[in-house]
Amino acid sequence: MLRFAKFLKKVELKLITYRDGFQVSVAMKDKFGEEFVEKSAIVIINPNTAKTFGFKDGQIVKVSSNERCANLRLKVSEIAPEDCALIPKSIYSCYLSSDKITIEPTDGEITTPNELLERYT
Amino acid sequence: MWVCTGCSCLCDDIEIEGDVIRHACRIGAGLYLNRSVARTEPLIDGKQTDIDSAIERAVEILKDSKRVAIYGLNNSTLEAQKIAMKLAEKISAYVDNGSKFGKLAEMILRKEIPSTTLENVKDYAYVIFYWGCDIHNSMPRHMSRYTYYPRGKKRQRGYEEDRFLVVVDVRKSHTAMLAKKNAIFIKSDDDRKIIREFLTALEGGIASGDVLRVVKEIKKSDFNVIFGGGGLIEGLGNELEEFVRFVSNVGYFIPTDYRTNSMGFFKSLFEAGIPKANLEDLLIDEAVDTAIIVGSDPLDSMPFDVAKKLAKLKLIVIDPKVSFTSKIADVVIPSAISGVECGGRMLRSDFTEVELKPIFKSEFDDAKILKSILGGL
Repeated sequence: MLRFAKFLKKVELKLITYRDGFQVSVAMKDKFGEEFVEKSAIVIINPNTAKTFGFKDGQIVKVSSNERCANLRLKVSEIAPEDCALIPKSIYSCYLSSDKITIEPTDGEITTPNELLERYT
Repeated sequence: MWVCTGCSCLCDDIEIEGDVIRHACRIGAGLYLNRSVARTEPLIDGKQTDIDSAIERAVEILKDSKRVAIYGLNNSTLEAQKIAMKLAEKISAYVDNGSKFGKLAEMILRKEIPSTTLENVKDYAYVIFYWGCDIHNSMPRHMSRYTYYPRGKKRQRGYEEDRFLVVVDVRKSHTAMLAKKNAIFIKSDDDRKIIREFLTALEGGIASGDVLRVVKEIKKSDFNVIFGGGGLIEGLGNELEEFVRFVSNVGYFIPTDYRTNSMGFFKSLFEAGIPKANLEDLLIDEAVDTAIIVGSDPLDSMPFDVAKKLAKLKLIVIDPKVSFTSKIADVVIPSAISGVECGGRMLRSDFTEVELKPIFKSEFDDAKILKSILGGL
């Protein structure tokens, strides 16, 4: 299988964390469930940024900051300013907390909450 | 009618018939409908035990601790918060709820900044600011129950003619996207700069077109309100003087801290005369060896470098739900969901006291657990 991902560029963006009502409601339900991962393990970028750097809505990306990284699902929406990336407030945004993050394509799977938790202990 | 404890709106108009829930937002409905999912069990070092043994172990840990922090309490009732303050006094513990609204909340309690109730906003407010908060996501019914959309005594024509909405944020949030009719979105890169610009315009000076347009609307009414969120708190830093002057010129300020009983926490702290600590700073300074976490999940809210230090402490978690922090705690004590399984009082975001109306009854709640721990010491 051709791995087109390696031809795509990395992008460095300012990180903004935000509160998402849908994410909050699934976090109240079960923080180790699939719905929590679906609503929390995401990074949102602006449509123009996605177009410039060749990212597609729904692809899995490696998000890095301060020598830490996690795989999240990329979403494209106008709620993100062009120079910023949005991550809903959760253990994912806390783990990656930094002024800036780097986003690059990956062929990996989305990081699970249990995988993140292991890095705390 | 049930009082929803999903956020600090504490909506008191929720109807429940079995598993049918009416008027609640997705957060409130989820809180009620998923109450049985992911519940905690009493644990000591990850092993199942009974609740009395878990409380006894918590007492032992506290007796052996040098410096303790009590963290959370935002989902606890005023009654439970009061016991937590007594516990803090007894063991000289630091107390923090993780909210950054402490200074402004204290200023409201001291009446150093004008504030009002949400009912007054509904009846009288004309210009409504949402500054640094995406209220549509954090407190979903805020706009429809109290601010932009409803019709009030002196605002019979609602948002169509009788309200003017101003959203100030670093990004075009979902709330900003609602700023269409009689509304404006101001993108902020520097909150203090915009406040200075407003002050200049209010005093007749030169400002940008957007600011001048808002000031023109402000001058139409003597009842305007600013709802400030975490973004505003961050933007202001410790410089509150100009903001207080701005509020005094515009009308009133109400915090939009979504944490359910955060304002109750600040009032309880204020009345007990205990200074608010900052657990993140304490962890950086390695100033505590034990933490009691009540209804909060700091691993889901603190930056990694700080949370990693928390993970090294002796942790006692009191929580109805399994959390990331409960997974690494030394002791887990299951509690009741306030408002669903236990009663008591809470303060709404505007400091209005609300009596909870629980649907179910639980043997143990935060107040009883904290009282048992206090008794054991």
